[in-house]
Amino acid sequence: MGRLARAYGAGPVHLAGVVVGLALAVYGVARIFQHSHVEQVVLWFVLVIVAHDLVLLPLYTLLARGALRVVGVRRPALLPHVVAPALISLLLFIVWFPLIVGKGRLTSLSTLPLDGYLSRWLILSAGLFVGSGLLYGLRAAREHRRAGGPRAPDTARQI
Amino acid sequence: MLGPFDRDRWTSPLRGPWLASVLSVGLFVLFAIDALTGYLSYVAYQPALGANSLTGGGLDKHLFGWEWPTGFPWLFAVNQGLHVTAGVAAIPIVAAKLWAVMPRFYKWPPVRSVADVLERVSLTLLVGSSLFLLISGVWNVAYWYASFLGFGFVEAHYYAAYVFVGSLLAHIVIKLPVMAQAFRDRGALAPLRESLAETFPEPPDPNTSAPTAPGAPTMSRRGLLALVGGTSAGFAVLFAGTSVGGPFRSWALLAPRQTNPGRGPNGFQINKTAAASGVTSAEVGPTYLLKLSGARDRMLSRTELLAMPQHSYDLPIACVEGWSTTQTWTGVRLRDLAGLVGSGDAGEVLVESLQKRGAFRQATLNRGQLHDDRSLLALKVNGVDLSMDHGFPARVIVPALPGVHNTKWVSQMSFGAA
Repeated sequence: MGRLARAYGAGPVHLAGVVVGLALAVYGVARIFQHSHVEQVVLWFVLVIVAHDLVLLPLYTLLARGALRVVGVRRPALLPHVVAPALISLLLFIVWFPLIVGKGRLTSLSTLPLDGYLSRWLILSAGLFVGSGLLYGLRAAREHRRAGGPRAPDTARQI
Repeated sequence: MLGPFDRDRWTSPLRGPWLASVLSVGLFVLFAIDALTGYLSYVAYQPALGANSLTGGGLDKHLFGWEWPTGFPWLFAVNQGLHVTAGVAAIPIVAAKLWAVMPRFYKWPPVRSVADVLERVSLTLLVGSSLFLLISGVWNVAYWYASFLGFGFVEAHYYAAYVFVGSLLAHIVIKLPVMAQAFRDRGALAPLRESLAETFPEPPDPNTSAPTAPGAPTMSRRGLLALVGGTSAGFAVLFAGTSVGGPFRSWALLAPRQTNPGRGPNGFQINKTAAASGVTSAEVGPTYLLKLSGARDRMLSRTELLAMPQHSYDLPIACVEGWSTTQTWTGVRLRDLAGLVGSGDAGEVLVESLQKRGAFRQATLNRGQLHDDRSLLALKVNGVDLSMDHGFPARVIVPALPGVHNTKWVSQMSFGAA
């Protein structure tokens, strides 16, 4: 290990990449601060980190544990078929919520209607759950035929 | 160790350098498209001309001041369609990637060396800027202009992109060896052949995201990747229809430009109505006069404009938000108007609107845009007069020009030397 590596903790390529990359990032941060209030940007950064670590992380950890307990113990293979459509539906909501809750300025700017987004999102979400359920049923039936018993496909192997 | 800092609590057996690396490859493709089309979009607005720049002064408006071409009329439409579609498609992969590496965010102690400190800084900037770019981008597309940071969307999105590109560069340099190692150890594609029964955790290592106390898998790695990739493709399809247009528009179930606002020749997408722009019908009545200034000045009524040679072209109008629509426009060539006031050799033109406020009440066009055959001051669309919301009495339409630079309700054109 060279002197640089000992003092810095990594090789010269690491150092060069970090210096060049951070220089570019610092330029962006400096320009953002030119256009806005430094306190506000910093406040948002801190708030977002606190909100994630102290609110969201415990919340989704609890939800995951709950799902594991309710569905996971008896039918572990069912778990992804419940969690996946829920997460996709949530992500779709996060992306398009201004239209789904009717907050977007679409109508006032461009005359387009805002009604219909909520029902389309609900129908899409329902479709995801139904599709996921059907897929699970299909897999369960296939495993059942293969194993010749009722236990499949929940034969998740213990490590 | 407490809560998330206790590595034994992160039990998913799928996590590890291989999974993180595969997700990164997919994400990199989309992020590269987004960075490239993002900076190209900045060029398309021709920030070095007139008052076009929305990001103030600075080095970058000259750095990206190259002349945006008119040769491919669909260039801006495709650029923005790719930009927004790639951004929307990246969101599920970003979520999966954050899930895959989450234990590393809570490593303890957080830093051991100067290199660690810099890496943590670059990682914080990368996560922060990529989430900000994606969220601000899609919410802007969904017409929710959250001005929570005290500045406009364009500056915020543009300068956050520098933070993003810089921190991504640092991240790639730092992590490329880790990725190469993961693909060497496990094979780049080999884990895709493993069924659920063959899914085992990567070797436990507190220095990677591989679990130290793995639980039993409930799905295979290929199952997870199919889910993430399928969601990403689905998100893309749910948006791309508004960019492709035609029958595909109705596929974009949750996107803003999912339906057309009306029927008939003027029934296509309106970016911003006359009412929302503060333009009244009194201003565009029989008293309307277009002011041209060049080597000399001249005022023209709409009747006089209609008496000039008329030309028709099919041209797309494309929004920075990713939607576009192609229509048949008829009107007077911009360069014929320049010739009318003795400025046939003008190098640029400042176009102003009857609209009194807003960044896009004016735009400056470059030499190529002014002199292209297909660059029109359109008076008609699809064979009929422009509607009020589409810019009656006259609007600009130029190949490959950002939608908002195709000024509506044109009141004045000033031809300059550049």
